[in-house]
Amino acid sequence: MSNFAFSTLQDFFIMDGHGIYVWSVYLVSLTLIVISFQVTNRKLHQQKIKNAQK
Amino acid sequence: MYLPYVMYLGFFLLAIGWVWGLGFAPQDAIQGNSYRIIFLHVPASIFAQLIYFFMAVCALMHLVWRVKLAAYLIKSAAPVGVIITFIALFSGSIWGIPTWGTWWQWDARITSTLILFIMYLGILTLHSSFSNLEKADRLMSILVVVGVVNIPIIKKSVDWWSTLHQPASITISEAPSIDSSMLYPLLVSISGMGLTLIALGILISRLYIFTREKNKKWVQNYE
Repeated sequence: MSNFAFSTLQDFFIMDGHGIYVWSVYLVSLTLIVISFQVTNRKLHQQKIKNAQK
Repeated sequence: MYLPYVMYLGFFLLAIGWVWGLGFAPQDAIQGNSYRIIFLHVPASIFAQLIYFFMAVCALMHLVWRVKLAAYLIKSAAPVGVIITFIALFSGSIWGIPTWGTWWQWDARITSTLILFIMYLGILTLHSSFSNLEKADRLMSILVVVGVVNIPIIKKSVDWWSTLHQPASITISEAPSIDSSMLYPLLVSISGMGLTLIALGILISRLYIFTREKNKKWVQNYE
């Protein structure tokens, strides 16, 4: 791993004006993946309870 | 039992790959910093196709040997395919704005990936439209096998047609066309994405089996 590619943290977030594109893509995608895990996990937990009650 | 470990390892590798790619990989000479979307877009695009390929293998197993579990795996992998193909299309569209000056183009690679996304949705819709689940499994498997023709089209679209989309940066048979300072974080991101999606797929398949087999004794007694 080489050195940090930006001189300041602000440059890192702004990315020469490309930050809005880059960060929005990562944020939306990561949120989608995390929500998928959470929703599935919750449904699985509910289903296990339902199955155990039978 | 191993599922949390697979999930955490996947997220850990994703974090390493993304921090490395976003903060430490050098800026691209032509695209500037917008190219950093590659560390999400390429893993997503690879797995959008690989998941379909996996489903096609399962579909053949179900159709030829009547393996019931294979159909369950198709039904569980398809939602993962929907999510990751959406991410591939979305990240590509956003990347297109600063790079191509447009978020959408009816280009061969992009259109064939959109067809893949519609295929995933179609497979899920077809399965849920039948009350006879065995029949639904069979028809879904047939649709998956028919749709596999789209995978080589996606893969080769950038070679067969003159497209706006660039050719593949990494291939199995040739040396990668990107510098190692960008390639290594990309490979870590691909591994992380793979493990994360495997964990999600296993979790969804567990939910599906627990729902579909809810009247079976072993499912009711499962802790």
